[in-house]
Amino acid sequence: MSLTSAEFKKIVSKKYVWVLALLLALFYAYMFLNIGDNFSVVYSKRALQPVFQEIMDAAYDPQVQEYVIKNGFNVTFDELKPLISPKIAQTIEQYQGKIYKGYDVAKELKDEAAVRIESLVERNVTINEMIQELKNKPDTPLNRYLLQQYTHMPKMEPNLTRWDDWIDINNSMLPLLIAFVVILGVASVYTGEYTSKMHGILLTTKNGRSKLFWSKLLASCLFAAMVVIIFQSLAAVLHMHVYGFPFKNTPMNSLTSFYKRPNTMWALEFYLCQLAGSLLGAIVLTAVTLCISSLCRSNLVSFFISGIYFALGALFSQNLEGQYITSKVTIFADASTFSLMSLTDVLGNAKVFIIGNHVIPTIILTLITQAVIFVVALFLTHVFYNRKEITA
Amino acid sequence: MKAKGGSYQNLMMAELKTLLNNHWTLIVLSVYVFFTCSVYFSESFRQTWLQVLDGNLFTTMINLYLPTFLFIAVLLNTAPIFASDKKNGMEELADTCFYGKNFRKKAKIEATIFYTILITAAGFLVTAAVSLASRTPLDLSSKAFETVNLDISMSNGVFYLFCFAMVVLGLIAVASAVVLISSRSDDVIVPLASGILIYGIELALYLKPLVKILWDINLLKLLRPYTMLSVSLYFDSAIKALVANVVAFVLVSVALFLLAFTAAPEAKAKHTLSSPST
Repeated sequence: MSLTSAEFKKIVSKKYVWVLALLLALFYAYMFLNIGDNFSVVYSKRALQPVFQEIMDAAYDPQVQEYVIKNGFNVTFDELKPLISPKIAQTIEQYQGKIYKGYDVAKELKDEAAVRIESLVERNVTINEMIQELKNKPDTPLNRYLLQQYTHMPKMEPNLTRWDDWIDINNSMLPLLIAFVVILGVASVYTGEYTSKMHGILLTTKNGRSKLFWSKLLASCLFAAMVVIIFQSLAAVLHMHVYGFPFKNTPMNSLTSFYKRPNTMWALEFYLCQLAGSLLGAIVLTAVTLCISSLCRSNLVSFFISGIYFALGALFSQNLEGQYITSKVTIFADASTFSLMSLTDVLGNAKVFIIGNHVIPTIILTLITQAVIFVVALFLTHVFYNRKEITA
Repeated sequence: MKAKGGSYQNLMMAELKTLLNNHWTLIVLSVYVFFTCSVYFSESFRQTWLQVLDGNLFTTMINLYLPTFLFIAVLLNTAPIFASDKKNGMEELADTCFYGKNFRKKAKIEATIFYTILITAAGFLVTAAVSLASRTPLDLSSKAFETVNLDISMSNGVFYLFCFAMVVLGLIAVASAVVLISSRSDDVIVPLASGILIYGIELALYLKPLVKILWDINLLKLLRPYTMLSVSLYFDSAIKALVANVVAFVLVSVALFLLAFTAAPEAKAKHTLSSPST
């Protein structure tokens, strides 16, 4: 244990890691706090949350539904007012005459309430149409799967929670920041030993290199976990400060980005999965970086190749957003370490891939691929690090 | 400037040759040539992976892809320029030489600037050569972005030269920051990571224009020159934004190179005092 703690101290004692991590954290906070006073952040959803249930009831009221459909999903608040709960209008009336950054708050909230009702009606109509279409389509494994998912979705709710923003935390920026700091800390774990010529000397010690191998691995994984916890906590604190708590748990299909996706999860469940994915992804990335570090003789090469490994997956994945079928072209992006750390694309869009008559969730493929990468990376690190060096 | 073992120019040329002969230059340029050939010769590759600008492949390559490859090459070559000397003790050795490290430092900085210009020129020439080999005309006399209503309009030929100048300036700005950090650090990973961090921050400020002036005066605009031809968020015209961007980055580059150069005497004194042999 003392060996592991010594190795851990070696990693965390690199000042440049913390200086760059601090710069990243400050920049992230700056970017984020800049939007804190936007109208949409301060008023749009927050002001309507007290009448969440009333808005939901309105969207499921057959009379309102008929009116909204008849008007082509384009209605005003004043048109809906006689059909919906008076509590909604009373809540909005509180903001009468209030102007915020040039916006007439009451007017904007009326538009917002109308949009929330009509979009919920429209979404339900769209999903019902999709279900009907699927019932009439040929009985293929994909159609069967989609029908099963769409018919078992939780009841859609108005998108008045802050889960859109909370889930967006891990969409792209945070995984990139975490990966950057993890690679920065871990890239020189073995190369440092090679450049200081300690690698050869270790063969003459009692325990040799094998004991050190596990200590270095454990220490690096601990460092990665610590980075994930720090950055996820920072992001959560910033989100809490700007948006507040997400108000209430809501089904994923209630969120704008995911409502057409065959996703039956709840937002809280998905966010917790993202946190777990972030941790697992960081640990896999650590194993890959250690493997590259054990192979390279220079920090520069180790850092660069590890960065390329992660960046390629991220670039590829970011260019393929919005699909829910994994194809031969997208499979490398979907199975990448970035995808595991983000999960927005793979799990959020409920991606699947088709093998013969089977429809398999892509997340399983991602997890298996990453587990294989982790094991192979560890094996190779062990081989590279423990090979005998006869260069006397 | 004449030294016993040769002239200052010899020293600078030696540093330049070291940079040009570095295997990273070769690797990055080879990958770029492979990528460019795939773009020009394979239509399916183009359709799957490429976003074509102005219906002109050369414009697309020199705006969207070449600068990224050049950025990687410059970063990998300049990051160890001073930091690796400290690691292997070369810095102390230079202190004991007749001309000290000032000439060497100056030679390294000049070599970095020439290297940046040469590698950018090589990138442009390679792209043009592949373009001509694939019988894709460069269309020099046509108006750049003919169908778009730009604030600054020019012919393709002039636009290519403009792109060259902007990309060189952007890369020199990156190199100046990396060289400065390299001169202050004894670990190669620090300047490399800092270069990536600078690029990342500029990219984020470019993609999310939260601060208007930082969107107009942005490294990414220099590395994607077509974005400078229209729309300014802070200034009232694209020309003003362009001039401000160029002036700002020229000043920053000069200041950073000067800082990198003047870091020498302090380090020299520190080493002299702390050296056990003295």
